[in-house]
Amino acid sequence: MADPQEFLPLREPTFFILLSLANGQKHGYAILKDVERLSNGKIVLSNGTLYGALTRLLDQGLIERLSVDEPPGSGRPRKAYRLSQAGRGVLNAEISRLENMLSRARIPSAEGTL
Amino acid sequence: MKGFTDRLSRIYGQSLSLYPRNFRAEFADEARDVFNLGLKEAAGDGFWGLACFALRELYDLPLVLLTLYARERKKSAMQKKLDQWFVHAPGSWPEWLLASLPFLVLFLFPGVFSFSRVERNIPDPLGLALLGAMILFLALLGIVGLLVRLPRWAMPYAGVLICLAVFLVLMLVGVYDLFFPGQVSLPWWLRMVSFELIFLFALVVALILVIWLARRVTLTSLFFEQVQSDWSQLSFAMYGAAMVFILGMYEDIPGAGLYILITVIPLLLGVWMFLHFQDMQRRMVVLTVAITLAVGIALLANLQPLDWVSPVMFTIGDLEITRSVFSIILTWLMCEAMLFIPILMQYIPFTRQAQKQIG
Repeated sequence: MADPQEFLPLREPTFFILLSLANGQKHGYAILKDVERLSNGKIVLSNGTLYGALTRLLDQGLIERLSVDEPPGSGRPRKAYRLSQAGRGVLNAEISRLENMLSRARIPSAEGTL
Repeated sequence: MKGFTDRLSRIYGQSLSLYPRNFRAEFADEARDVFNLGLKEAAGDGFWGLACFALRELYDLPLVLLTLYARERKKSAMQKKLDQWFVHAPGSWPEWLLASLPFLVLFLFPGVFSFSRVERNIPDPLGLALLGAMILFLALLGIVGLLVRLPRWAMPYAGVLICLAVFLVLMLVGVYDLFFPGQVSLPWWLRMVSFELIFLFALVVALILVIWLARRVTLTSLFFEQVQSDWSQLSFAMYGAAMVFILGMYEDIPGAGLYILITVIPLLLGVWMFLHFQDMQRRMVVLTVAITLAVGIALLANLQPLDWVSPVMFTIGDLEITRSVFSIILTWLMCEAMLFIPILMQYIPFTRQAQKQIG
């Protein structure tokens, strides 16, 4: 498995997509809405950006795509995405990196806490 | 408003034709569904909601297309290069050469070294390094074979790998040590027969496992689509594995270089004929005869006067069957059985079911 550090730092949309999938598998549309919610409406992905990111993450092995059983007669089988073990590793590494940066920013300086 | 959303949905559907072909084949339906769900929600915010939704898509489109095409090009350039070098027409010379390389490498090098008496002057570490380099070279070609989705030439490599894996597992679980040098109190010949029967059983289990795994691994799915229509391809894989056992027959014969060099001839002819013949029965006959001839040459080498004497096990009239001769005959039978296991496997319900699902 590749070293999670090689994928860091993550771009914001990528980070939020992985974060969205950390809670379990989701369909494309659910990921879009979740990213918007998690980023407090700061990141609103277009369809193109979402699928560009999903195909890249699939190629990198950070997420997995699976067919989800739907009630009979509901049309074609839907696809869902879930975090792979490597993806979870990368997400954790990015969270640690961000926490580390934040803790450094909180070190009291001579003038007081930044 | 409904007319407007329908028009936007149609325009988006048409814009998908701008995306790379592989992306369209895999994601177009799904992307359209997600777009329509977003459209439905944006329609709740009225005309401006819909306009913002559509403009966001339009704004991102050029960069998304550029990224996707660049990635596609990078991927396909690498695949093209691999295909150019390693995917060849059935029955062509490059296909034969690639399929023959393990036979050439594993027989020619030891054969030439032994024949020219160079092997006596090669220090052990260098000998080991040479062996390691040969195995690494073949392993690399095997990986390339997997990357180009296991064409016919890669079958002998796959066979060697499957048999080595089975052998390693039997060693790790202690089955090999049980019979050799022998924790069980059985005559030597019975221990040998028992081990080879266990090996064959383990091989059947391993092949079933491989078929089961192939349903889940994209890289090997094409391999089993091929095998589905022609099980003799899996026999070709076992032919590669048999080569290792035949080479092992020369283990205790110093200076057998010429015999080793001659042994590779029927094996290479077998590869050539297998790749040329269309008929499955003829292919099986070719593989069977090639192995029999190769084993026959190894048997002749074992009958030469050596500086050690193999103990006599049986006598049939005046004919004395020594331990080494018996071992060769038994290994020959095992190699032939290995060739026919895949043909019999198609009658196992589990593998038939797997074939249907793969197909």
